[in-house]
Amino acid sequence: MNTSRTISIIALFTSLVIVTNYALVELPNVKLEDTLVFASAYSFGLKIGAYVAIASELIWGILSPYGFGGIIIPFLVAGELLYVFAGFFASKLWPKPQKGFQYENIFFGALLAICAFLWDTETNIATGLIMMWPHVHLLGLIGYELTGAVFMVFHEVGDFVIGSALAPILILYFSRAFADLEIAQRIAT
Amino acid sequence: MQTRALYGIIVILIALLVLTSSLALFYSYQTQQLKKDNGQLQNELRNAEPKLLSNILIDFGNGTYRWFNDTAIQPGWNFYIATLVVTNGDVNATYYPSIGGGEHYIFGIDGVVNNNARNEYWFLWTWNSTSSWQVAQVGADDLMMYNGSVYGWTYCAENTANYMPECTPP
Repeated sequence: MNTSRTISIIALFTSLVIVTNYALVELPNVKLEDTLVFASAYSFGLKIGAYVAIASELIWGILSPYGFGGIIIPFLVAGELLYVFAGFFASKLWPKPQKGFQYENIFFGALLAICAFLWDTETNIATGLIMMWPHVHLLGLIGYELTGAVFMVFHEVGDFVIGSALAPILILYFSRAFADLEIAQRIAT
Repeated sequence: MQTRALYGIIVILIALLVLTSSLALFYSYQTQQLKKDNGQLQNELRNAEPKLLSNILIDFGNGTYRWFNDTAIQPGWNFYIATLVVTNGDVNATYYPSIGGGEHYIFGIDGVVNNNARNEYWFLWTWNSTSSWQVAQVGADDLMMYNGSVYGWTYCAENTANYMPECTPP
């Protein structure tokens, strides 16, 4: 895949992430971002997925309606990379979906829910570290984990449902679209 | 194909584990918060609880009488409960659940019990600044305690003609 197309794909996914994050801002921790990052890594590989994750979290961390994320941004980026690895891992393990709705689709949703749990655990600990620094103690960190538990549940359920429903459709769409593009290019050359 | 499905099932099971763990965490946090709030509210209630004081007289009819002045009472207490408290439970009573909302017939206080043969009984009195002492028209269960209430017990003979006590509180 040439550089311009790679940049286009990254820009496309990143803009989709930012737009949908804004659209769903009223629903705490329910977002299409995770599914989009996952689908990008599944469809286009680890490198493009990682770029999408990093660009999305950097932009969202700076420009979100919640304000500038500050020191938490690197932790958000690190957390989002989990979805990249999950998407890449899923592409090696499970073949591309053949249709939008099939029972295997819940594998994607389940994988996204696990990532959501890890993402929340990591970012809650990071928040605790930032807030308590330098007087960090285990009980305090557990407190931050517990406080974030309600958002954790929303995030996991949201990722499971959206991941099961949307990830296969996205993967299917992009694989078809780019397969057609490849064929068209071959014919043209 | 089977291996892929197996991996899928493993992933689903882990996701379920993760989701149930998160729910458990969430409920654990909610429980802790509610316990904390409950403790705070209890403390606030304790601090805000008004201090109610009442005066209680027990006249044993032999020249001995005791005033329990400024007795701390709780909202909702009736005179039967207050009598139990000031006598440390040394009250002889029979409970009649079918009378009114349930009534106690008190026939002994601090070891002094009614003497039917001599027609001597415990009588219940209420006091106010305008009419002084009056024989109570209701039983101890229906006399509600309030801040500044003055109630009394006297032990003396009963007038057989009008069933009124032949004594008044000192």
